[in-house]
Amino acid sequence: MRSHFTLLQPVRSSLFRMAAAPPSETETVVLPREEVDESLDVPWSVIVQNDPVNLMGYVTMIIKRVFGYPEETARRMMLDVHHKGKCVVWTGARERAEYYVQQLQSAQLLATLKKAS
Amino acid sequence: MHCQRQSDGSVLLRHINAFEYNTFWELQSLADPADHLDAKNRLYPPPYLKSEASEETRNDWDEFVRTELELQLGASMTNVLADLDKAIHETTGETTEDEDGEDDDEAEEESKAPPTRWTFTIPAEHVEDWFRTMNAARLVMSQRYESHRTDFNYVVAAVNSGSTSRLVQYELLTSLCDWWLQALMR
Repeated sequence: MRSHFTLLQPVRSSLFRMAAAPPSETETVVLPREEVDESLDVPWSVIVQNDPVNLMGYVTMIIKRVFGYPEETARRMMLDVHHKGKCVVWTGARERAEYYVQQLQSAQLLATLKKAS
Repeated sequence: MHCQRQSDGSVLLRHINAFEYNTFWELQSLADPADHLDAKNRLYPPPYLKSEASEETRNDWDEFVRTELELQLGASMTNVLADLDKAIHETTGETTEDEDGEDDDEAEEESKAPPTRWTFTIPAEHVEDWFRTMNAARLVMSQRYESHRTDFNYVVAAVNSGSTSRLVQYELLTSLCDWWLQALMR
């Protein structure tokens, strides 16, 4: 099983092509503007949604196991899921958030991602 | 059925009755969402809102993560079936492979005998495979049959429609998952 999930990003820079044909000393080189996926910069939240099947103790155990939270924190989050329908369990960089969602889904929790407001 | 954790982390299952034994063998179909879209989406939920991720990103997730989750469940199922295949009759110590050849006399004789019980051991390294498989079956049953419902009207409707065995199977798997969690996974 892969330990980390990284979405494939297209190669956007053409610097490698420029290196193959070096400019003369007087030529002005305009570097291409790199396209940046801004969604990689904003924080993303990992959300666990309530479901009527997973046992409460199991949800607590998985939150604790995936994030390394203390028992009390994991239990409080589980109760938020149970009573409020969902709970933000982590917020941060998108790649890390995707990794956590994969781990939670691997344990069959109903986990999703959302841009943090 | 009696479940007992062994000192090496394995689990000994004994006195398994026919209903429980058949439910175990049905796990593969119970946990299979097949063409049921809601069940598929529950086992492998799309993680993004459509407005928050490009189609390419969503496709990447399906290609890499969802595929991996499907393989993971498939591998767990393989281990579960391999363990089940080693189940033996408690009285005779035989597997069930020879049952097809029974003639009527033998069947009549068996009907007077005490009901068959099975036993087998789940190795420690398969404990989480069993939980994943039983829990997947519960998730799919919940989507297909609303088996998680406990309200009176639903139960009465299930009884009237002759689908009580699904209710009992769901309750059996829930009890086992609960025991697994308390006794084996903490």
